[in-house]
Amino acid sequence: MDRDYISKKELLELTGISYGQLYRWKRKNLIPEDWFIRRSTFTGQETFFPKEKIMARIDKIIHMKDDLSLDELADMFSPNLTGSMLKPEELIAQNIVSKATVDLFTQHFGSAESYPFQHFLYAYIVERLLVMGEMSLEEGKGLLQVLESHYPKFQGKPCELIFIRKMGISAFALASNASELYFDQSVKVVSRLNVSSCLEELKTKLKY
Amino acid sequence: MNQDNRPDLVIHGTVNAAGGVYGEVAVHGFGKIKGNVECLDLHCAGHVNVDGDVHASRGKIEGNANICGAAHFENMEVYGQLDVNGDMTFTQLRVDGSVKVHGSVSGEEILLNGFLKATGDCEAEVFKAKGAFTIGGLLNAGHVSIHLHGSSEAREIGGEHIEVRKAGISTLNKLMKQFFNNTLSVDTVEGDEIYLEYTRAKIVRGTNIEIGPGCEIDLVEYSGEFRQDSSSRVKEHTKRGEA
Repeated sequence: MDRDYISKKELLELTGISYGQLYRWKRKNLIPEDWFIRRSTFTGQETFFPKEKIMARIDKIIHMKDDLSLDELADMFSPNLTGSMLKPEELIAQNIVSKATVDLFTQHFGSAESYPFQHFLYAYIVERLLVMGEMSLEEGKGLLQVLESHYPKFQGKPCELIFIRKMGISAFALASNASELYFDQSVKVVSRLNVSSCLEELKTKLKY
Repeated sequence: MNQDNRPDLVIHGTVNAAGGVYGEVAVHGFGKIKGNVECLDLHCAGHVNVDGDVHASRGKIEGNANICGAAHFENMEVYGQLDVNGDMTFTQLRVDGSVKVHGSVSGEEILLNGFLKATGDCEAEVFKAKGAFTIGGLLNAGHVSIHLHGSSEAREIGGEHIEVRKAGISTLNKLMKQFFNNTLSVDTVEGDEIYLEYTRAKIVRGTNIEIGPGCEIDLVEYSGEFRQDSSSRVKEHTKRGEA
């Protein structure tokens, strides 16, 4: 078996959780359905998981299940956007986004007291790229536009943000997960960002 | 959806109706509904065919219902026959008749006294069966309690407590036994506490496993305790190291 995958048996031995827990978490949608990969082995059918993802997820669940209920956890891992409205000041206070990003953000969305959660997801993604120093503020505007007009089309399905640059001109693309993309030689892929993991991070930060 | 203006849809005789938002949908004759239906109460004592999704708080099927889309019910009771051609979700499902779902079934509690067939997975916190079922995928429930009243099958069963028992001996059962063999066949059973009777499985894995009478199992893997009835056949059993 290749190294990126772990069988159910190995997973339970490694993490010390029981079958009951695993099935319970699956029922509560803490572990996505498409991580359960069925393959035939010499003993019959076996279930495998993408190793890195499942280990990270189980680690998170084990550490957070004392503070949060399983339903709250499920809500955090779910790719659906929560409907809550948030104030930009709160996010600055919690160090989730910087003042610069919020300024950019209010320029784009117009100033209001509070904004829907998904706008903050966009702001958070912009923030991430700004902090990494890979993107200029000016480009951030373009990114906000791409996210606003196209991200809702994914309807919570996992997707990836691809940021490319060719001869100094930047472009953004949103692609559904696991798509392979090839560019011509002069294109530099500046950054590839998994939007669902950004969403998860943002939700985690908001809980505390 | 508009909560204030909910007309009732009552069908006597043969009626073709349009879908929409209703208060109560009652079918006593033969009804065909085109489009999605959202209602508080769905009561069918006749025959109804819905060409779309159904979303209802309460459902009671005493006749024959056919839903061509997905179905969601808070509380569902089926005494007749229900066919769903999509996924079905609910809070509570009681099946005294027969339910066939071409998709997955998920909810909080399933009480099965009749027959349930799902081509996909079946998920619930509590799964209590005193009937027969065929599940094409995984039966995943916190508490699985099965009294075998007919031959049942599932590809996999997983959960915390899993208990499979043979139905009590009654005259009817003795008669039925001439025609059916009441066994459960499943590929793998995985859970924390497992008790099995009259089950044919390839692999059983769990913490504490007890194999009652009438089982035929290829491999048992356990980490806690293992007990086996002498009338059962277990080809191989291994204790794995406590993780």
